[in-house]
Amino acid sequence: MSLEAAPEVLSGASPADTSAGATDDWGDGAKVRRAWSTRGLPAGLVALLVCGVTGTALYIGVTARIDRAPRWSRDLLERAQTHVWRDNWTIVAGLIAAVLGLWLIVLAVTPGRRSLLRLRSPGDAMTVYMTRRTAASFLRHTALASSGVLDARVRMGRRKAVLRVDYHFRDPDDLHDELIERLEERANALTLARVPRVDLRLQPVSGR
Amino acid sequence: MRTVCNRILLFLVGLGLIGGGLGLAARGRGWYPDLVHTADKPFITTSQAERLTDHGWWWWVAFGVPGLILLLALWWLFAQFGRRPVRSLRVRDTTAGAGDGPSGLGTGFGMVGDEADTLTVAGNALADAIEDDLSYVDGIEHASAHLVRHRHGPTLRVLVRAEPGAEPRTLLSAVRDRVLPNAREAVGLPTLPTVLNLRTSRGLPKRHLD
Repeated sequence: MSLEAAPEVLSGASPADTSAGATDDWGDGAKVRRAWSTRGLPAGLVALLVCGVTGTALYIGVTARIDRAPRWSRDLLERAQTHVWRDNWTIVAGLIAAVLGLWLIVLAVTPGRRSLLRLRSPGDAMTVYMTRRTAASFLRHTALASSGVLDARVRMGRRKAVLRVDYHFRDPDDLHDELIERLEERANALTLARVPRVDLRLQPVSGR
Repeated sequence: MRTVCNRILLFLVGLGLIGGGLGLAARGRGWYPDLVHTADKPFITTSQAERLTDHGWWWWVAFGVPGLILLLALWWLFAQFGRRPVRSLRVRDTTAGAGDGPSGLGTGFGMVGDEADTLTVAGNALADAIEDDLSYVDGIEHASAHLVRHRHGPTLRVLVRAEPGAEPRTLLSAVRDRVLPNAREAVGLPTLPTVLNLRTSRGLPKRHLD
């Protein structure tokens, strides 16, 4: 199809799409998976370490085979042939290796990328994330829009958003109701896969 | 794919480290009841070494196994650095006179062959066009897009900076209904999987009493 034909096709099709089911064809939040990290850095580090160890072993083996083993490798062999197993350092090294292994397994099975919150997919093979900071920023903007609010600090979790709001010259109950209503509406409108609960804490400020 | 590979390999290495480490510690403590594995022997005894080097296969194993592991680890290491941008996309040309050869001045201009009826679109060009399209969507302050090669064709990665007051739902619907179909139609892709990262610009400044 030609390049200039595309916009016409598109503008004809899209209004029908949106009117058909703009509210319902967004994916279900319950089915959304969390963001999984590639674990590139730990994988790279482990690979580098394995490369170093096996490379050294090969180097020692080859040089020993042609009788040109460097001095340190002969010292190492000497130590291995005289040092007994029963030693505190053996135990310590073994335990450190075991803890490291446990850590690698934890890295392998946990999702990572805790800062990313999945949004419900708008469909069409779209995967949408926002960071916690982003969600917090959206909520903060909403909170600051109410009159009497001086400042809002948001701590965003996956399930709960804690807002500490400084206010003045306002009835706290009144403000609380207004803010809760607006913030919950806003939290719903963010289309997060898991809609966070809003935990609102009002703090009066009386001048500086 | 890389995620799965990395995680499986990390898991295996972790298992190996746990097993080896605990084994090492247990042997250091002398917990093996076996008489052969007493803790008071050196790591390598000369008799062990001689027994091993007597076998014909020993040298194959001694060089083969570390060599194989080294190769695998190198592959694993370099796989981490693979950035895979889409360099170019082939698009079927349907303008009149496409594929008519040199005299018809089709679209190949010698690059893909004059009688071919395809044109090549640089991945960057499409990504830039998508960025441009995105910047016209209401509520988007800044957008950057990249096309990444994937198993089933190109994947679009977008980072969008929205205004803090923007409505994510309308913004995303606009992206889905206007920008993405535009991009797909432009290069004739049936689907264009998209990973969109929504950010806001820096938050509002802290308010003070004046």
